[in-house]
Amino acid sequence: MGYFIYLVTLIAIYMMVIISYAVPVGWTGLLTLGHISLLAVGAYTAAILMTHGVSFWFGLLAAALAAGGVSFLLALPARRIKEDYFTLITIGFIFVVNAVIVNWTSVTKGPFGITGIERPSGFEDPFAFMALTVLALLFTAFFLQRVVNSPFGRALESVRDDDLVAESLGKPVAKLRIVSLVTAGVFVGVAGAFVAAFLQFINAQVFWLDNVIFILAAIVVGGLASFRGAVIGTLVLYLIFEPLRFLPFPPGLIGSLRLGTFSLLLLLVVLFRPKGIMGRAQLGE
Amino acid sequence: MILDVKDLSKSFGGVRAVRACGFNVSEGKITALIGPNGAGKTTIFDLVNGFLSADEGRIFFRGYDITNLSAWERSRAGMSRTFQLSRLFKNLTLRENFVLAIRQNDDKFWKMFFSKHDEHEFDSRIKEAMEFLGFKKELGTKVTELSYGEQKLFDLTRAYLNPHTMLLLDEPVAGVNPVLRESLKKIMLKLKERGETILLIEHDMDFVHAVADRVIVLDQGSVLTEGEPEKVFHDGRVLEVYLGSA
Amino acid sequence: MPIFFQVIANGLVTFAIYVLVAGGISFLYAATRIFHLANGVVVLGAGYVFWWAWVWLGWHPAAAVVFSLVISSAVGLLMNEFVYEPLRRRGTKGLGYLIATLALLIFGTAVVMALFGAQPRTFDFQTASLVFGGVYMTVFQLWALMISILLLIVFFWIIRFTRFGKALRATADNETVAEVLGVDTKMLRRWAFLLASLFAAVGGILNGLEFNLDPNMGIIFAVRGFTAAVIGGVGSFGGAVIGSALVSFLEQAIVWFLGAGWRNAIVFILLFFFLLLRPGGIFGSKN
Repeated sequence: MGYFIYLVTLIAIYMMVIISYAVPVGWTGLLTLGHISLLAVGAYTAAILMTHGVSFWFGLLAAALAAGGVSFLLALPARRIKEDYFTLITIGFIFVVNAVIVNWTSVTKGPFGITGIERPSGFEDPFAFMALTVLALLFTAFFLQRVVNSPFGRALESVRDDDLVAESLGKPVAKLRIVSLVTAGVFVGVAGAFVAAFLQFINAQVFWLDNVIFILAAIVVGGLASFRGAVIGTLVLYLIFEPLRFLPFPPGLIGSLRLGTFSLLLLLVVLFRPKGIMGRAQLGE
Repeated sequence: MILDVKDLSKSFGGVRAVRACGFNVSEGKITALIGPNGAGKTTIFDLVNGFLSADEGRIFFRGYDITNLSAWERSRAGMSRTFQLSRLFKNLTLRENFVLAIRQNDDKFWKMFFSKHDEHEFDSRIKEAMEFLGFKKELGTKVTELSYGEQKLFDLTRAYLNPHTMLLLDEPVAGVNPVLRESLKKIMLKLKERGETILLIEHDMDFVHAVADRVIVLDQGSVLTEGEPEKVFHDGRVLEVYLGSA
Repeated sequence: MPIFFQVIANGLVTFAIYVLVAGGISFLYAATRIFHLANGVVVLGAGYVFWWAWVWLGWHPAAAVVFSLVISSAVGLLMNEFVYEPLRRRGTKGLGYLIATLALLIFGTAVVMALFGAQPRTFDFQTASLVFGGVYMTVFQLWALMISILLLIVFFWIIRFTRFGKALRATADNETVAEVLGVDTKMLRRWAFLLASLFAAVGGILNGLEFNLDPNMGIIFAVRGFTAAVIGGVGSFGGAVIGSALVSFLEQAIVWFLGAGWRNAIVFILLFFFLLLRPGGIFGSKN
């Protein structure tokens, strides 16, 4: 039972990140890989504050603001430069955040990470914390659904499908891109605070490349511009490997197996079924 | 004079695509921009609607200097254009494409979040426009299913639905079958009747002769001559520029 | 200023390697409009295959090198044939290729990790140290530099003076026109991938010998490669050279003064500002 609670909480947090990121990637057509770094920004902000006596709730708010703010900075180049270049910047950004985490030891405790993070009072019980996480997920889903099903969401899709035409129809493309990225960033920041409180310990390893590919694969395999697709993508990709946990595989092998499978699925989807499981759009055509 | 272009210049690498180009467009009239390939017509369109920024020169629209405005600001100011090769929001339906053209406030995040939205809010307006322009198609169709001719009509309808005071039409009858061509001639004149101001680029001289009030001839990036179609088509220099360029 | 020269000396090998990787990415982009980040897989794989043939199987080093080059080129060509070409036939643009190349990069890394383990490996390989006026370099570093320069000269000669080179420049300029003029762009792309993969493979072997073999190298080289290419101006020969020089020497300076941890970060920040202010790179247009 304890294992089940753990699994649900973890998946709920992943899903928060994935559906947030589905908005800039699937609806706005921005292939950004910054999600893992924004998660790290959120988690570290929350962790640092919480280990200095701040309550979880303030930590959450701070995490959201920090991640949103950093997203804003990262989004600025999106106005002037071509899409492929933008993706490259987001890749480079992963390395920058990683370097900051590992080297700014006075604040982030470097490779050792931050330990002893406490759960919010009243939610120390794993079941209660799980419920809180799921609640946060549902709120995120509800909020984002409202955004993408509104005319604003359509405007985002117009930017994805043809940004030149969108401009000539009076849509401020740069502003739309920035808002899309910042919105995702804010929710990912919140997810980061949950990561910190859930694991009660964070370090650079938590936020590294295999998660980047997992999140991207979940969105693309599930299908762009579809929350249901993102949810299914997350569940499928996460759960195919869970059983392996219980088999005597050497841990290093599992890592490369996950990495290999996610990237292979991503490749196959791009080659043979660009809309994924139930996407409404495809990138780059 | 709704559009006044002064001394526009634009180079790409070492090539001067447009040089010291100047002309104006009168309100309520149809003005045609013609010239041989490479004369700079589409570049001028891109400069006017904001996709390109000029190296030199100024553009005045309804009396305001819009030279430094971005494309979306110019669109909000009243410019609406079509494209040589039809561009569509291919993952969306016909209805969704049109609604995007009509709405001008959909970039307001919180306003859109808190308001009630109805997919079919603009259906009657869209249907009226489609009927006026002779475009018959189910609103729920995916735009990718449109034929070439239908795409041309779609482009025109979208530009028409986009709130505007001037239409920029980039080769409205290029590659279009003769029946649609004749239909589009009539549509142009109907639009003029409704008070529309149109600036168009075309290669089809018959079409230009039938609809244009004024013709501007471009050659190598600047204006060669301009005037009424009759006069321009009999101008020796114009014929030379079209036939003589080896 | 002995420190200054030592920093430069340290940077020479990395420069030699980067220029091969960045040059490949840069000219491939010019010829095919694809950001072939998966070139990092070739860099990574070449080093490991070389190690496997030489150290594990016990072959003669020259044979191991040739073997590694052959396998690496094959991998590069296969990636083009079975991923990029099908995408091209479908009319894919920019982002579609980018997802594919990233997937290939990660997949290649995963395969290497599965086959060779995640721990870094080194070659038991030392060469004599030389001293030039207070600056230390090894014989190998000199060799690496010379090989790299030689390959660059060969490449330059190919671009300028052969029919292939002319066809390549024409296609980079305007693919449709090039095809109309009779260029077989499909074959051209194959040759381009072959060349870029060979260069990357040489870089990978040099890197393995000078530093170590580490599964993360694929991604790291892909990132450094595109950084150097973009800063220098994608598609420009001089750009790839200058960009690589800038990146490698800047990195060495950072490692010397700030420590190894910050090397990737600072280079990226440079990239960020370049893309914000001068997206064409040093030799590109102010786009």
